[in-house]
Amino acid sequence: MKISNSQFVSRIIFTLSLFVLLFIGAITFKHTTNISRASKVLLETYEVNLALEHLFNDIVDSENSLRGYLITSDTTHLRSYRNTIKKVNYSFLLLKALTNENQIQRDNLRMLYHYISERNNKITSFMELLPENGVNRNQELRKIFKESDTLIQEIREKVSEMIANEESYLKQRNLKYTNQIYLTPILAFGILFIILLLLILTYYRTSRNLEQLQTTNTKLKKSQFLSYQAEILSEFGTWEWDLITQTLKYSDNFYRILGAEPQSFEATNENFFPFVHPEDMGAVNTIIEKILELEELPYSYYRIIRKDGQIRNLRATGKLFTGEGGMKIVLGVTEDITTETAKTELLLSNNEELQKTNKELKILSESGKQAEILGNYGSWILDYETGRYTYSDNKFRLLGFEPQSFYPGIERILELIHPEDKYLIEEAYQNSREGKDIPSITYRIIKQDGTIRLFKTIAKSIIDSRGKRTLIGTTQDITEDYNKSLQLKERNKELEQTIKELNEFNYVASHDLQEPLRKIQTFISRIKEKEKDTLTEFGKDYLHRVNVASIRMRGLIDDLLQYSKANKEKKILIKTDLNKALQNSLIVLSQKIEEKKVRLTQQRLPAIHGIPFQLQQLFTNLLSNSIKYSKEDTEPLISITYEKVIAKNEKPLQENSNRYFHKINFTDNGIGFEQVNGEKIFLLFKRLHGKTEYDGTGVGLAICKKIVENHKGQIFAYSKPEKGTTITVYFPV
Amino acid sequence: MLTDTIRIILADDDEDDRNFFVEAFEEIKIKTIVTTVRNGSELLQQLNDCRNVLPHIIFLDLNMPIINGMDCLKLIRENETFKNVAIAIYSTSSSEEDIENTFVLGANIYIKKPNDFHILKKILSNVVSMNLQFETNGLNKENFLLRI
Repeated sequence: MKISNSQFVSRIIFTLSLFVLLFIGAITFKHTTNISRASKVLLETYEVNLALEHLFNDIVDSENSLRGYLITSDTTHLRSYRNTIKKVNYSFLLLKALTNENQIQRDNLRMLYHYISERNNKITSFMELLPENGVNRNQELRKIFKESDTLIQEIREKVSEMIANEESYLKQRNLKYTNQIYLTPILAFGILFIILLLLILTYYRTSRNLEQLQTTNTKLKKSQFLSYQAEILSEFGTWEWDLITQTLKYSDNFYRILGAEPQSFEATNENFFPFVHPEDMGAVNTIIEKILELEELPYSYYRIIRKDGQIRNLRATGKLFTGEGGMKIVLGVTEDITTETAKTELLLSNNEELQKTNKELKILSESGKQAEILGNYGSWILDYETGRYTYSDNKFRLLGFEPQSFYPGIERILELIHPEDKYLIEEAYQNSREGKDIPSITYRIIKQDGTIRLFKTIAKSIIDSRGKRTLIGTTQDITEDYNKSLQLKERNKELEQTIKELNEFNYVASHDLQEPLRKIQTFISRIKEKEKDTLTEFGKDYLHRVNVASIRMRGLIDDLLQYSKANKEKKILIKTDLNKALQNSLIVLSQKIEEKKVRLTQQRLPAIHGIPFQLQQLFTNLLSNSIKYSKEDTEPLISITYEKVIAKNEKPLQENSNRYFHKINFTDNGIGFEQVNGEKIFLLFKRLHGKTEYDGTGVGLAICKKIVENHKGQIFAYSKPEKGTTITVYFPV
Repeated sequence: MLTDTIRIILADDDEDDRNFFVEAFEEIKIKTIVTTVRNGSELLQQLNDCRNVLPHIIFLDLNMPIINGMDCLKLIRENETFKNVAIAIYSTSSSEEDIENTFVLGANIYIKKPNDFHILKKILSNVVSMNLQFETNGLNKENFLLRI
């Protein structure tokens, strides 16, 4: 477009320059003609003047010759006279020719002629009349001369007048000529200047056109190169079919598509047809017909077979171009779409996969919706650009609305918030605008029906791949949960209170029970001492039984107190060496050990975090149990073993982890018990034997269990009647 | 001679215990004057009464109405006047916590009430004789700590 435009401009400039040059040429021509005419007229004037002077001189000469002849009668004079007459005639003719254009001068010349001819006539008549001799002759001569003089005088005057006339003309013409002479250089310079200007302009235009032509040329070269590359890359070839000359031209890549070397054979239909797949020959013929008929070929498909037997799918399109001079060329593009077809197939399979994913997503979305209903929550997205929220269906339901029944904006949402909690939402909204995430916030809303619900919202600010910022949030109706947790808290509190009270009761009961019991025992001792002599044997026996009962009661109360203390005491764990604890308990039990001759074997124990006093109590209770329930006829044997174990290898722990535990076994060879009672023995006041056989309160092992539990450990009993018992204690490492 | 007689005061709300206490001293062959009061308030009244001579030993039950033993102990030890008076805690409780606390607050002796009259007599006579030793030797009562 640009090029043709500039061409148009150039053409206009050229035409204009031509016109201007022609115009200037015409003016110059006219000017030069004027000058030459002026100089010619000038010359004529000079010639007229010259001729007039000649004429007059000749007339005077003829007069003189005539007078000479008349006076002397010498015929030589007559001859010279005749010569001069001839000259006069010649001059006159010349004058006549010269003054032909000038009216005044012509009139003057006629007058002059009249005078000259009159004079000639007179002279001729004189000469005839003139007597040969005598006085008369002289007189006559004088008379003739006189008359002739007057005539010459008149001629002279006439000639002078004519010369004067010519001079005045000359003056005029001279003036004109001078003017023209003066104008000539200006004109010439002007012409030169204009021509120069036009030349520069034309040069400028031409050079610019040339430049454009060069850029266009480069572009063309580039695009040619690119299209060449493109042809190879995207596997298409181009062809030209001149309908006038019936010649074909194939691009290099067209040959390549056919599986041949570029330009390796002449581009003709006859050479091309052998490549076409036999089944598609018809299609190709139709293509050729269509081009000629429609002048434009819609996408047409056919196959070719390469020399190596490869079948390629091609797609062809073309268009008829009619140019100047009856040019008719079909330009076409043929594309190898074999790989594209494969790609399409791949795309189709991808599409199928996408549809599958889509379906899965739909399922997910549906299950998400259901989850929202079940879990009493709704999700939403805030678009910062529009300030518009998108709510999930259930979010609407939570607010007491039909799904998607209004457009949620911050103002609309704030209307639903409990007035006292509005600031929470406003704050969170402001924070989120500043790009902060919304941590969990809890607030109340008032539903349309006026019920107040408690909502919890969490939201996260997200920037997507296009740099768009959105806030994605989840809101849950936690009213039920909140109420439940409130109830649970209340219950927990009650329970704690109950336990506390129970412990308090236990402690106070056992503590306060001690007091009267102590008095009873003191009174018994008082009676025993003071009434020793007065009491009957019967009374003494009863008093003894009262004493035994009171001692037993004391034991019960003491143990109970200890048990409640195991509960009550502050559980401050300090690093405790179990060997030391064991040593202390052995000291406590030393008397019993000595009495029963107990043999004790012991492995080195670890140190654990615990309550030293309680751990000592644990060992004391366990050992005293073993001593108490030893077989009468057998030497009591107690062995304490220790190992470090992994939780998952210890069945009773029921814990599948890699946590380490300290495992301590207390094994004796005592009376043992049925394994079915393995758990019962740890219950409070649980006794497996009669009071009279073995004394005890049934609190000892309960205290042990309590102590182990205080140390986050576990205790188990394994036993066989008459074989012995093993108590296993686990403490976490 | 007043110095030969040891003045003892017991604050205990339990009548039986007061009786056992008095009876026990009656049977011990040491010259003593035993006074009993029913609570801490009465004890403080007695101590602050100018007409009375200060006792040598105060026996203090912990669990008492109106002003309990622990508070009583605090109040007595706050007063410089009574700094030479020995204080024996006389309680049913044998909890380590109580024992520790009372010693910290300035008690000299901690006695767990025994459940045998004979033992009671023994204990009381021990305490009195121990106190006498401190008195006659002019020992600092602050170092007098006894747990029975």
